[in-house]
Amino acid sequence: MVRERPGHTLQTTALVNEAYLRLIDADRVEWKDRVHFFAISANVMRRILVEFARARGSQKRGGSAVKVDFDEAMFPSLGRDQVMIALDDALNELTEIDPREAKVVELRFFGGLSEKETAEVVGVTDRTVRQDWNHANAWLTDELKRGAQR
Amino acid sequence: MNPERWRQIKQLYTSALEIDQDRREAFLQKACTGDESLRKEIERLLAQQAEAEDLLGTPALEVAARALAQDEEDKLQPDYVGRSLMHYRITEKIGEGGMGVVYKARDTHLDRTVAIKALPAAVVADP
Repeated sequence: MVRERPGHTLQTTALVNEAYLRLIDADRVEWKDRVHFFAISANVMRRILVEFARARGSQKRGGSAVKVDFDEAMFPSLGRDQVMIALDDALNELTEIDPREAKVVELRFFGGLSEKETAEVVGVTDRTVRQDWNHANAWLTDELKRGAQR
Repeated sequence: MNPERWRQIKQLYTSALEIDQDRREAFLQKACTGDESLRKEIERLLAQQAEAEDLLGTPALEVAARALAQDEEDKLQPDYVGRSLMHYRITEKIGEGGMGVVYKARDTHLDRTVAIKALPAAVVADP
């Protein structure tokens, strides 16, 4: 069993607070409804987490070896932060090709929404969300692998 | 990639996922007759399946929170190398894991090499 670090919970709270503050700050946004709220929240969370990965990455540059546990087996040459950044880039690419599929990933992975909640936000069936999600997972994995080899 | 091709690949990939693994090859042979590259594209996506769960399986927030917690812990972790604890002189760090750090040290009383394990604060607080 992996021991949960107590700091982990604290950090989750800190990150959620950061997102909350940014959402409050976004007073120009007029909330249409709660679906709209979730869509914006997921996007805010994505930007925070990617910024965070970039900041950590630059701190560590030149320092000791980058800690890898996000996906050590898959992307041996990439650290956790680089995987997050590469994922963000690939997701931007996906938005060009298949905006709905990219949205599904943003809501589920960055927004932490369930399949059902995502379906409600996107306005499609649970089944469609599941299909988009499965395809996105495979496509993104493939993209990141290819990126790591370049 | 043109949108038509994208849709075609996505649709066939989705169908292939929904049928039993041992029937997939026959299904793809038939569906991709005369279009070898289409079949290859779909097979490549199918090959990612096992690893794909690792990529997005843990929500991003949790991944980031773990990273932050790890940073905090690294900052809190004192470096004992070169210092002495009682009559043990710590000479080097041998390894580290979730349950603490192991150092190589010299027992100056008995004049022999020992290993010392330093537990992280969290483990000490909650044995």
